[in-house]
Amino acid sequence: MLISDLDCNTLKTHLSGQGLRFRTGPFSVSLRATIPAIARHIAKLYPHSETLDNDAFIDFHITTHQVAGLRRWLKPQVVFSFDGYKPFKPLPLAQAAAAFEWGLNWCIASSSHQYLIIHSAVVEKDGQAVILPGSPGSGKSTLCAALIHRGWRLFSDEMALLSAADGMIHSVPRPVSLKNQSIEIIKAFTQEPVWGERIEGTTKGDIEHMCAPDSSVRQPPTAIHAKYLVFPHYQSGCLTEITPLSKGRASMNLIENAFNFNILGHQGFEMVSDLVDSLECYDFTYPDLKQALDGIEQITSAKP
Amino acid sequence: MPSLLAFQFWDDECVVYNRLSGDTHLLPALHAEILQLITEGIRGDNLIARLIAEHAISHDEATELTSSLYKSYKSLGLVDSSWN
Repeated sequence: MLISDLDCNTLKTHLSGQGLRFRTGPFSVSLRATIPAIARHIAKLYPHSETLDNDAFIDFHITTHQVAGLRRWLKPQVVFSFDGYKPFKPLPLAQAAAAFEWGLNWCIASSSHQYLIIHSAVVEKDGQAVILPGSPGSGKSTLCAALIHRGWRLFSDEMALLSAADGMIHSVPRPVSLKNQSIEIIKAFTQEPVWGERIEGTTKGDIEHMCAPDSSVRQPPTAIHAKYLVFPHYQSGCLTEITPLSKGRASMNLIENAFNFNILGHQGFEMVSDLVDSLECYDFTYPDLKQALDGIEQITSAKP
Repeated sequence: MPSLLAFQFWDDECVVYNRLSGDTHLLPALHAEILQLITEGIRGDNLIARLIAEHAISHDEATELTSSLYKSYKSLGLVDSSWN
């Protein structure tokens, strides 16, 4: 059964009761939440996720609830907890959906060390996967959002999961998080996606989440060997530039973007070395979305 | 016991991983090769002789290069304090 098969009342009953159990990528989540915005967020942005039985193993037991007491009325806040642990300070209640998404990111990054976790989008087409690591402002998520509406499959928007067991990138197709000007750029680019509610005034600015397409969530393969490593750099007014990157430099850049490299230690170093050894690596500077899409097609269809 | 350092060579570059500190370093391949020789215990005049034989550089160049690299590697915690 999928989350979209649950009617509104059933969804709320699960969320406010023992928890809504569902799968996202390789992870199983139990989410308890009485906040209406969370229920709307899950219904709208995780419709293609498979629900899980009560006896299923759960990776992350998550609760998001409103802070009690006077806070309920005066500047209401939401608090995120994972197995009873509260890793963050409460956020304004209006940012409840963002608190859930960021909290789930934290759960994955802080405890899923069977993967080297790289801050990166991953997209795939015709069996060719592209890893797009990016620091804030690089345009990674904007480019990813556009690519998945031009025939590419979303493997991941926020984190590439490189498996220690098989050396493959595993899919975790969660909602794409877009910020500030990127929201309007993608809305002008495509009418297709389903959007969550606008979350204003977060520490990252205004945010909207875009639903991952059904084809990304439910169709195989769920793991793939990547072929390209492309470091995107958005720069207003620049000329498009595709520069082959040495494997040494690519390794260093990849390590800088790996959340748990220090935890994996020498194993992480060997994983990065093996991965980069098999990839074509590029630095890619672009001035706008059209040039960005053309550049990715150029990289993946022929030698730039 | 595994070596303190792990080396991954690609063409004219090498990425070195320090198991003790968790740091990674991107080095020119020749410089990494010298580091590898030092960690294997080849030091001082033996190291200079090896470089002259394998890389067609002069005695003065090899002396200057190894001396300067040794200081850098020592400050980065990649080699211990004994040189000769």
